[in-house]
Amino acid sequence: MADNQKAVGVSVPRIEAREKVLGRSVYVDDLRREGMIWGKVVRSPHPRARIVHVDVTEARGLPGVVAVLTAADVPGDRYVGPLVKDQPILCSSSVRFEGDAVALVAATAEEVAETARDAVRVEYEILEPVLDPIAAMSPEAPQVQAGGNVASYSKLRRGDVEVGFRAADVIVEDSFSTQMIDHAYLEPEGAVAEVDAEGKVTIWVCSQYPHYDRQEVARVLGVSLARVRVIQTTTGGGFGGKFGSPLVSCYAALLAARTGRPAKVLYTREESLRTTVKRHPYRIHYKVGATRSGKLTAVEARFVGDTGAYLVVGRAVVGKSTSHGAGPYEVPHVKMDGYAVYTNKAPAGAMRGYGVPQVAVAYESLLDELARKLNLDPIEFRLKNVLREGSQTATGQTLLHSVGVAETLERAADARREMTPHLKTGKPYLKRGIGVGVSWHGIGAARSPSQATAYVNLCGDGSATVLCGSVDIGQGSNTLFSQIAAEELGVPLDQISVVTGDTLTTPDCEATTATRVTYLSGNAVRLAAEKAKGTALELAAKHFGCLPEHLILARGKVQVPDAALEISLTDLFKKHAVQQISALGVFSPDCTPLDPETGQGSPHATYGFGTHVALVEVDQETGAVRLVDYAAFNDVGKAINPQAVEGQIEGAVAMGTGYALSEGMIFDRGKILNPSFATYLLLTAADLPPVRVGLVEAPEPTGPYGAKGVGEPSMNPVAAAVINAIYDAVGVRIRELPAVPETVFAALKTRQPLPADR
Amino acid sequence: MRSCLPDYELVAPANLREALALMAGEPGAWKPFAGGTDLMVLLEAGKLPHKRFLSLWHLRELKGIEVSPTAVTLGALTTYTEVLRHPVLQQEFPCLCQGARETGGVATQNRGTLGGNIANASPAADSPPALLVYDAELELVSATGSRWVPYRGFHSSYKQMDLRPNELIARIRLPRVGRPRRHYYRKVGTRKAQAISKVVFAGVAEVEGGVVRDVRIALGSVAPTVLRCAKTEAVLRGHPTVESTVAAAQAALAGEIAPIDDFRSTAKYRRRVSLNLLAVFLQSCLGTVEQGPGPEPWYGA
Ligand SMILES: Cc1cc2nc3c(=O)[nH]c(=O)nc-3n(C[C@H](O)[C@H](O)[C@H](O)COP(=O)(O)OP(=O)(O)OC[C@H]3O[C@@H](n4cnc5c(N)ncnc54)[C@H](O)[C@@H]3O)c2cc1C
Repeated sequence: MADNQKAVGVSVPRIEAREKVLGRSVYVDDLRREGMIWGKVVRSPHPRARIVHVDVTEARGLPGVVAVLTAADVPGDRYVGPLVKDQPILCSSSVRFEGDAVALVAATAEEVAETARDAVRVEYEILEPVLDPIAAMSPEAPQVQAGGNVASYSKLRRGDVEVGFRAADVIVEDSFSTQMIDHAYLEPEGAVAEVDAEGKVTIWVCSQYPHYDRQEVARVLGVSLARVRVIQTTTGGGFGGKFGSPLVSCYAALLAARTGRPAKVLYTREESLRTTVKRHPYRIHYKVGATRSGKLTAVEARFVGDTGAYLVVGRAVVGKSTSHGAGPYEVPHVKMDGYAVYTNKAPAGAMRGYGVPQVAVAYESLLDELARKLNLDPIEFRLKNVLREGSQTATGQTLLHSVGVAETLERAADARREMTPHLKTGKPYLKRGIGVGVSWHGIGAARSPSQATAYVNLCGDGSATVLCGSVDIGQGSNTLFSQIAAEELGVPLDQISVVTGDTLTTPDCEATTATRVTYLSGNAVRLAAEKAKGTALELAAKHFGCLPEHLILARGKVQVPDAALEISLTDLFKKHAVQQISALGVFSPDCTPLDPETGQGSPHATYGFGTHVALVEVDQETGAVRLVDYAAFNDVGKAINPQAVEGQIEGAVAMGTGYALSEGMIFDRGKILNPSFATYLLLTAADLPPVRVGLVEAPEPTGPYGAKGVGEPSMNPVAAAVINAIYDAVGVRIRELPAVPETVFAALKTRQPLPADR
Repeated sequence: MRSCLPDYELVAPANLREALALMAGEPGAWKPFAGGTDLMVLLEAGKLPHKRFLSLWHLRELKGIEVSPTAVTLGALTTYTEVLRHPVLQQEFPCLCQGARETGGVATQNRGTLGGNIANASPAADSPPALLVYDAELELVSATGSRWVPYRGFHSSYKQMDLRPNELIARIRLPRVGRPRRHYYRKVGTRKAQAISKVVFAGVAEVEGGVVRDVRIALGSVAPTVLRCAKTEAVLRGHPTVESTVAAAQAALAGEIAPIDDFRSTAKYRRRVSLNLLAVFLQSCLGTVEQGPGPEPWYGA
C-alpha cells in the first residue's frame, strides 16, 4: 500500500463502530413497516405430550387478531433442520420439549397478539419425558424421534489402544459431565417479513446464515429460492445460536404470506432462553495413558452429547468432539466413540467451540492428573506431547505448517511465572492456584467441499466494493474484508465498501460459523481483489509496454516505480473502454473427509491452537471461586486486526469462565427453571480480571496473509484452565460443570489432604 | 405474559402530605413506587397485581442523610449510591456500605432505595441484615401521624410486615455507638454483581481483651424473613472468642436458621456456609477489622 501504510496487521476500529455507539445501527427490533402485524408463538408447557386438540376459536375472535395458524396452514414442507429435517415448524401430533411450537398468532398490536396466544386452547395428553441421555440410549426408552434416540454415532480408531495402554506406566481414568448453556447474546432472535406486489417475500433477520434461512423459508412456503430474499440486519451476537434455527424467519414469512401484511416476530429473552438452540450437555468418560518419561501412549474416550428434541447440528458437533478428543497432542493409539442422543429438552445446536470445550475439560483435567502422577510440571509434560510441524493428528493428518501450540505453551510458562508471586492471600481460608488449559480447533466445517466466494468491483477512482456472503455478526468480519481489499488494492480503508448478508446480491458462502470466515472468506476476498488488481495491471502493462510484475497499484493509480511513470485507473479504464473491473474469488480449503469407520482423514486445512493460564482463588468457607488473573496465548496464524483478535479472546474468556463457574440451564423434570438473566448467571465485569492476551503468529501458508481464525480456538481451553486452577488451589477435581459454590463446597468436603499446604 | 403499560396509572404527588392524603382516602389502592427496581421486575414478568401507583421519587421529605451526635437518619428514598459514598456511614456503619456496594449493579444502586428494599421484604435482601445489626429504627408515617418502630421484628413472616396500608416508611435511624466495633459483612452469590444472595451475613462485635462484650448477628436467605440471631448472640456475649465458644455459637445458629432448597442453592449449603461465616466473623473479631474480601487491584503484565 502507498505511503507504507498497511491495512493488514493493523488495529483498526470496526467500520460500523460509530453507528453502533451512536445507536444508529438498525436491529430487527428497530424495523417498522406500514401496516405491520405482530406474531407470537403458542408453545408447549410440557416437555413431552401428545396434542389431543387445538382450539383456536376464541383467539381468532379477538378484536385485532389477523391470523391464527396451526401446522395444517403451512403451505410447504413442515419440517426444517440443517442436517436432517426433523423439527416441525408447528407441531401437529406431539410436542418434544417445553417450548415446542404449536400455533402461531398475529395481531395488529403486540399486546393483542400476546392475549391471543394465551387464548389458544391446547389439550395435551402428558407423557413421561425422556431426560437422561444415557437412559435414552436404551432400546426400551420411550422414543423422542421415530428413528430412535441415538441420533448419531461417530468413531475414531487409530492404532490399537490395548497396545497403547500396555505400553503405559501410568493410566488415569475419570468421568465428567458438562451442562447446557445458552449463547446469551444481547439481541434475541427476531425477523420481519414482507410480501411485495409480485408475491416475492423479503425477510429481515438477525442471522448467521441468511442463505440457509432463505432455503428453509422457500421450502416452508413452497416457493422457489429466487422468490425469497433474506437480508441480515445488524446482528447482536450469534455464537452459533443464530445458525441452524430458521424458525423465526419461517414464522414471520408464514404470517406475511398468509395475511399479505408485513409481519414481525421477536422472541422475548425468556423465549430465547427456553426454546432456541443450546450448547450440548455432555457425559464423558476418558482414559489416558503415558510412559514414565511422560509420553502419551493412548487415549480412549466415550461421550454422549444430549442434542435435545431435534438434531440441528448435533451429529457434526459430536463428530468434532471425536476428531478433536485427543487434544493437540501426538498420541499413537486413540479410540473415540461419540453419540448424539435425543431427549425431551430444548434442542442443542452450534455454539462457539462446537463440541471441543466439553472434551477439552475432560482431557486437560486428566493430563494434569497424569502430570501429577508422573511428577512432571503440567506445562513441561504437555510440551513433550504437543503437535509440531510434521506431527500426525489423531485423525492421521500430517500437519506441515502453522503449528504454534508449543510456542503458546512456552509463553504460558512465562505468564505462570509472573503469576506465582500472587498465590498468597494472607487468609487461611482463601487458597489460590494456577491452571493451564490447552486446546485446538480445526478451521471450517469438517466436510468437503466447503467453499467461500467473493466479488470485488474495482472502480476507476481506485475505490472498490466487496460482495461476500459471510455475514458480520459482531465479530468484525466486514472490517476484515475491507482491510484485505484495501491491502490488495492499495487504498485506504474508507475507499472500500463491503456488502454482505443479502441473498439477492451476495453469493452463498455458508454460515458465519466454525471459525471459517477469516480463513475461507478472507481468502476469497483476497483472491478476488488480487484478480481485479491483476487485470488492472495487465491493462496498464499494455499501456506502458512493460510486464505487469513491474507495476504497482496504489491510491487509484498504476505506477512504474523504476521509471517514475503513472497512469490513473480512470484514464486507463477510459482508454480501454472499461467501466470497472469485476473479479470473482473462490476458495476451497484442501481437506479430505473423515472415514466413517475409522475417523481418519484430513478434515481441516489448518488448525488454531491456544494455551490459557488461569489464576483463581477459592474461598474454602463458601466454595466460591474467583478468577484473579488470566493470560491467553492463541496461535492465530496472523492477526489481521489485532484489536479485533484481542476482543475475541477477551470475550471468549468471559464466556468460558461463565461456562466453568456459573452458567447453566436448570431443569426440573424437563422444564427450565431459570429462563431469565436474573437466574441464568452470566459473569459480569466485576467477576473478571483484565485478560492478558498474547498473540502467537505461526503463519498458515494457505491463509490470507497467514491468518487462520480465533473465534472458537480462544473459547476451547478456558473452562479447562479454570478447572485445573481450582485443583491447584485446593486439591479437588471438579468433574461436573459448572463449578458453582455448592459444587466446589461439596467437593471440598470429600477432599484428600493436600500433598503440601501453601 | 408481559404487561401492557397503558393499563397502569402512576401519580406523582407534589409533597408527602398529598401522598399520604391519597393513601388515606383509599387505603391499599395506591402502591408506593420509589425507585421501581423491584416493581419493574414484577411488571416485566407480568406479576404485578397493582394497577395504580404513587410515585415517591420526588418527595424531598423522604430524602437525605442527616447526622446528629447520637444517630444517622436516612430518608427512605436514600439510594445505594448515596449510602456507599457517605463518609460517616463508611466509618461507622461499614456493613451497610458493603451491602450497598454488592447490591445489583451500578444502575440499580443509583435507583434502588433503602425504603424499597425494606418494604419489598425479601428474605434475601442485602441491606436488612446490616440494618438489623446496627439496631435500626423505622419511622412510619400516615396522614394521621408518625410512629417509630424498631426494625428488628418489623418483618413478621414471609413478605409480612408491620406496615399499614395507609403508611409509608419515611426514615431509617441508626444509633451511633461511639465505641470501636468490629464489622463483618459477607454476601455469598454465584457472581460478584447482579446476584441474589445464597447467604448474606452481617455481624458487629465489641471485643475487649479477647472477650465479646457485645455482639449482633443477622442473616439473610436462611429463613422466611431476614433474621437477627438473638440466641447465637446470647451464647457469645460475655465469652472469650475461643474454639469452644465458636462451636457453641455455631450450634445455636444452626438452631435459629431454617434455610430451604431452591434453584439458587440448597438448605444444606446455606446451613454449612452460615456456620462457616460465623466462624470467620469470630476469627476476624480477634484480628483487625474485616469486611469480607474486597475487590483486588490488577497487577498487569
Ligand atoms: C437488576 C437488579 C438487581 C438487584 N439486586 C439486588 C441485590 O443485589 N440485593 C438486594 O437486596 N436487592 C436487589 N434488587 C432489588 C431492588 O433493587 C431493591 O430491593 C431496592 O432496594 C428496591 O428499592 P426501590 O426503591 O427500587 O423499590 P420499588 O421497586 O419502588 O418498591 C419496592 C417495594 O417497596 C414498596 N415501597 C417502596 N418505597 C416505600 C416506602 N417509602 N414506604 C413503603 N413502601 C415502599 C413498594 O410499594 C414496593 O412494594 C435488585 C433489583 C434489580 C432490578
